[in-house]
Amino acid sequence: MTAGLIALGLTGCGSTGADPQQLVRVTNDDELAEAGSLVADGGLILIEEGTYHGTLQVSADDVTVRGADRGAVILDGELDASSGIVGTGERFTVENLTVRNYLQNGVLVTGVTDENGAGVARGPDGYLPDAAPDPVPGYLVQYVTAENNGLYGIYAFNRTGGIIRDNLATGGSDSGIYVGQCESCNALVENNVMQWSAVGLELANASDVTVAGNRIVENRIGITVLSNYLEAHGPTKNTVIAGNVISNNNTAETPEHANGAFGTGVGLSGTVGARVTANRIEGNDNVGVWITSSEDFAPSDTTLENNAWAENGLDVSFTPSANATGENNCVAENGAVTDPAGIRCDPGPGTYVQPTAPTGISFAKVALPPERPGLETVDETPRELPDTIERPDPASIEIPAADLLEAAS
Amino acid sequence: MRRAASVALSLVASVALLAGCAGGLSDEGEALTPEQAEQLANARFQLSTVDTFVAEISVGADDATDHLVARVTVDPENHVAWGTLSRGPEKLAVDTEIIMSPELYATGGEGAWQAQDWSGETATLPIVFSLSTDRPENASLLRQSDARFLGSEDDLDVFRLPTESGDGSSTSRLWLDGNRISRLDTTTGALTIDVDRDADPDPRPDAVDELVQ
Repeated sequence: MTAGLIALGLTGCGSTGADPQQLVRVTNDDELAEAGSLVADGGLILIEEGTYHGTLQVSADDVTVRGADRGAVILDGELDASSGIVGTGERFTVENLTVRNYLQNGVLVTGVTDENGAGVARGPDGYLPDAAPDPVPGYLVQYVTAENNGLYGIYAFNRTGGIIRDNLATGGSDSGIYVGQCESCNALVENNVMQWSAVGLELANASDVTVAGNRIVENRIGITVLSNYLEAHGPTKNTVIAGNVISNNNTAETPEHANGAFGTGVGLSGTVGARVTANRIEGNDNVGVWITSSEDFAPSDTTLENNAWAENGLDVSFTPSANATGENNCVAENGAVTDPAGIRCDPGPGTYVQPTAPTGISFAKVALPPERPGLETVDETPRELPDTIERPDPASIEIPAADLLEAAS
Repeated sequence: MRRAASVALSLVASVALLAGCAGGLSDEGEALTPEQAEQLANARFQLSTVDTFVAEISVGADDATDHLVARVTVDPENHVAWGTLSRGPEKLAVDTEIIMSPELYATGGEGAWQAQDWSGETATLPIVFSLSTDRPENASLLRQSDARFLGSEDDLDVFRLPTESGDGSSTSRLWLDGNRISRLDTTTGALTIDVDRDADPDPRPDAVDELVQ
C-alpha cells in the first residue's frame, strides 16, 4: 500500500515531458492539475474565470499564480480535496483568486517537501530544530479569498521573507491565516480581513513577524501567538502587533476552538518580546489580551502600550503558569481593566479562567462573506519578489478607525 | 490549538488499551505517508457530511452473557441515534428499541421509554458518535503521532489509531475505503463497529428529540 502510494505520488508530481513554459493558462481541471509541472522558473500560471476542483502544486522558483478575477476564479475542494494551492519554490506568489472548501489548507506555502517533492507542513519528527530544513525565501499571498477550509485558509510554513496582505480569510476550522516554524520569518501580515474562524490569525514558533493594519473581527479568538514543541524554532520572538482592529471576537456561528477559546482578542502564549501597540481592541467579551505560558515557554519581555480599549470583559489578563512565569512583561495602559488589577511591569499572576465557550458550527457551514476587491490590473507579467522584505516601524503606526477595512468594496 | 486537535483521534483509540495481535495485518505497521495521513485525517469528517448512517456496534464476545449488539441509525450532526439493542449471548439475545445520545440512552419503545445514564458494558456504545467530527484532523500532526498504517485487507486500508501518550499502545483500528470509514474495531475483540453504507435508515422516533433536550 505504501509503495503503491509512493508510486502514485511520483506519477502525480513528475514532469509531463513538455518544455517548461513561461505562461501557463488554466481553463479546466485537467489544466489546473498539470499547470505546476508545466511552468518554468520565473513563469506565470494564469487561471481564467471559472470554478475548479483539485489541487495546484508548484515547485518551480519565482512562479506567480494569478487569477483573472478574484471573485470569479474559484478553486473549490468540494470537501474532498486536501489543499487548494501548494507552493514550495522560492519567491512564490499567489494572488487574485478564491479558495474554498478544502479539507486541510486553502493556500499552503511551505519550505518542507516530502520524499516525492510534494509540499508538506512538517515532517513526522515534529520538534527537531537541528533537523528542520533551512527556510525557503520569498512569498507573497495577496488579494486571495480563503473561505471555509478545514485547517488553515492561508498557511506559510518554514518560509522567510514573506508578505500576506489584502486577503480575506474566513471560516477556518483552526485559523484563517497561519505562519509557523520560522526562526526568523521576516514576515508581514497586513491589510487582511480575518473573520468567522476559530482563530483569525495564528503565529506558532514564528519569530520576527509584523501584524499591521488588519481587521480581525468576529472570530472566537482574534490572534494567537504561541510557542510549542510540535514545530521547530520555539519560542516565538519579536512579534509586533500594531495598528489593527481586533474587535468583537465573540461569534458563536464559527468553528469551535480546539482549546475552547472564545471572546478573546489576542492570546500571547509563551512568547518573547511581543509588542502590542496602537491597536483598537474592543468588544471582546472575555478578554482583550491574554498573556500566559505555553508548556514551559514563559511569557517574557512583553510590551503593551498605546492601544485603544473599550467594552472588553477584561482588557488585559496575565496568568502565566507557576513553572513558567517569565519576566519583563509590562502593560503601559492607563485606564485599562486588568487582571491582576493595575498591571504595570512584572505583575503577579491574575485569576482569569476561560469561560465555557458556546457550541459552534462546522467550517463547511460558515456563511460566505461579500466579495472583496481584487487586483486593479491583471496582466501576464510575473511578480519579481525579493528574498527579504521591509517591515514597518511600529512607532510610526497609529490607532486605526473602528471601520478599518470594513467595507467590502 | 493544535495539540488538542491531534488528540481527537486518540480519544477514539482510548476505547481499548489491552495488547493484542492483528490477523493478517502488520503488528507494528508503518509510519504514515503524507497521503495516508490525509486519508486518515479526513475520514471522520467525511462521515459527518451524510445526513444519517447505519452502524452496528458489537461489544464483547458473541457467547458472553454481557454481549451487546446495537444496530442504530446515527444522525452525526445532532449526535443522536436510534435502532435496536440486543443483550445477551448471540443465540439467546433479547431485543429492545434504543435511542441514544452521548450523554444518555433510553430503551423500551414508544410510550415506555426509560432514560438511563451510560454505565457498565453499555458505556461503550456512545463511541459510535466519535466516528464523525465537524472538521478534519490535522494531517501533519497525525504524521507526528503514533498512528500507523497496518496494511490492507478486504480492499480496506487499516490504520492503528494514535494515542495521547504517543507510546503506540492503542489496539484500536480504523478500516477505510478511501476516505470512508467502514469499521472501527479493537485487536482484542472487545469492540467492533461496522458502518453499513448501503442500509436504509430506520424512521426517527419522536422520542429522540425529547431525549436530547
